[in-house]
Amino acid sequence: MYPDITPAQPKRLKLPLLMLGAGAVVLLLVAGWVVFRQATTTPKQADFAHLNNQRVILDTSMNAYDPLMTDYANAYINAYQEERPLEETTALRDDYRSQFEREMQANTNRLQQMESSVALREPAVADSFKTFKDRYEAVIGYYERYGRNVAVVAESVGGPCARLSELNVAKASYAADYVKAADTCLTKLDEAKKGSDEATTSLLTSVEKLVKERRTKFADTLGKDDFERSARLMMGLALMLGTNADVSKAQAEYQAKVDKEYIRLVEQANASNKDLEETLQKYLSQPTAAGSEA
Amino acid sequence: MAAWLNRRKSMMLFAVVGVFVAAAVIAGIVVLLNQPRESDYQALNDSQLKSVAQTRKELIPTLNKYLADYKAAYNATGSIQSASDRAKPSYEAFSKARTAATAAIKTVADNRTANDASAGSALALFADAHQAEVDYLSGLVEDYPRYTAIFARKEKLCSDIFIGETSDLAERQQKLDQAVTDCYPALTKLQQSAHASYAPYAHKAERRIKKMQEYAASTAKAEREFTALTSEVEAYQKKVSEATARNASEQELNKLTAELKSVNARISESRTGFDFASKRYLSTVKEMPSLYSDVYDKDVPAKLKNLSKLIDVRTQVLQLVVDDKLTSKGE
Repeated sequence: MYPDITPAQPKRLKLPLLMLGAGAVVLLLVAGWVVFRQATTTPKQADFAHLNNQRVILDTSMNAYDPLMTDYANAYINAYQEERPLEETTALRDDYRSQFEREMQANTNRLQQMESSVALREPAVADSFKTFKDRYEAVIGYYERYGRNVAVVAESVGGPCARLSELNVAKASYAADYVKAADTCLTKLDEAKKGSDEATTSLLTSVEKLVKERRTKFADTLGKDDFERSARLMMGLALMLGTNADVSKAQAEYQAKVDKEYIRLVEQANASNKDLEETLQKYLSQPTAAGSEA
Repeated sequence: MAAWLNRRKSMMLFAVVGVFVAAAVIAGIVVLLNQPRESDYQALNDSQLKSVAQTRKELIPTLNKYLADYKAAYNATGSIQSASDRAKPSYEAFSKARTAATAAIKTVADNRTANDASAGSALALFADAHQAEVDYLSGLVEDYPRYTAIFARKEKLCSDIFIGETSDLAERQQKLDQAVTDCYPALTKLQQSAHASYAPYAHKAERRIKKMQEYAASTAKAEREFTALTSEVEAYQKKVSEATARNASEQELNKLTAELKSVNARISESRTGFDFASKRYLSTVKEMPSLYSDVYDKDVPAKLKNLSKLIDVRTQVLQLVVDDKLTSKGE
């Protein structure tokens, strides 16, 4: 009986196994061929042209950040100034966040596609592209930080800290009201500082310093008798006169710092863009190099 | 028995492998069918992008015509219903332009190039930016009657919050409290439009009118307090002069002057509360008309400019992507 059965087993299994094996071999061959072609082909003129087109596309698509950021900053700051409920501001922020996420994805994907270009096998092109990629990534990163900074400033300075200027100065309970409102503002500023970059943190720190100074003066008046209270209140109020000037000074300094950083990043990106363009032009203007082969 | 079992096993294996191969083949065919071809890029380039640009051009003029016609009709008839009826042809013209624009955008969004790794995202961003503009404009038209009704005198929704002369502040407060009964529901409806320009306006207006009510309440309260406190002061002054006349003890006099002083302190406290509230009441009233007109004077133009900027970038990018695909394919 045995000799009848044993040979039958492998025979029946052979066909599917053979199919699997053949499939695997075909796949390996195809993959190997692709890798071989990739490794051995020299970049053609079309590759340089395609990379150049992608460069222009990426540079153009960076212009979308400006209208997106404007829209976001206006809507978000307005929502805080108007004391909209938290679920509304959160929904607004999440909506814009997903837009920025999508924008960033589109731009980084494009950079990755450029990175896999055959044209980069030319060392000069690879060099120019490396700088180009770094600098465009820096600008993309800047916008990402900018988005977070807008949120942080709106949530603190635009929200509870703005309430400080809405209190009734003439009221006897002004000092107590100020101390209470200042505490909410200071807590928010502290939270905000944790989620912001260096320039924004220094802006928030200046606002914090101003609020703290006044809070101390007004807290001193609490529980004092009439005369001392009014004398100390006057000192606090005298500090208030400087608030607007001090805050706008801090804001102007911040703006200058941010503008400077932004201008620097954009200038660097533009320079690297021009450099990559010039490098690619060299290969595009000599059609005989490798362009005839195809 | 064992042979039969083994045979079944191998048949099962055969079937499983067969199913996998068939699935792979079908998946391959589907992927190939959805793969963008040159003709898809050609279609985008030759007609589809142009058709989006052309249908877009019709939107703003038809929108402006509707707004103007509705406004004129409302001013002439003083009724929302008649104004809507009269402006119906221009509403339909806008609606037609909107349908055409949406259809053109959808044709682009449904183009097979959406399945391409690099062209796909440019295509989706292009379609979304255009659709966002259509939605924004559409919202402006759909809720325009609601927006214009807010302060239209005949509708009596919020127009009565501007209160003229009153005999006293209590009456002002009472009139304001009456005036808001139809105003808040009208603003809530405008908020529910969730429109990027109307809804924030309606929230702002509601918040300010609520503040006005608070200020009106504080001024009315201060007015009441002031009358009560002045008569209290008069009573104390009388008591003091009486006490002085009858040579009362220093202790009694001191007590009376201390009490008088505390009444005076309450007067000045009440007075500062009154000043604060009345000043803010006035400035809020003054702010209301410009808050309303800013919607069309400032906010709408700024939003349109921003939407346009984004559309320009998305269009340039998509055109560049299409050009790139067509030149590299034609090589």
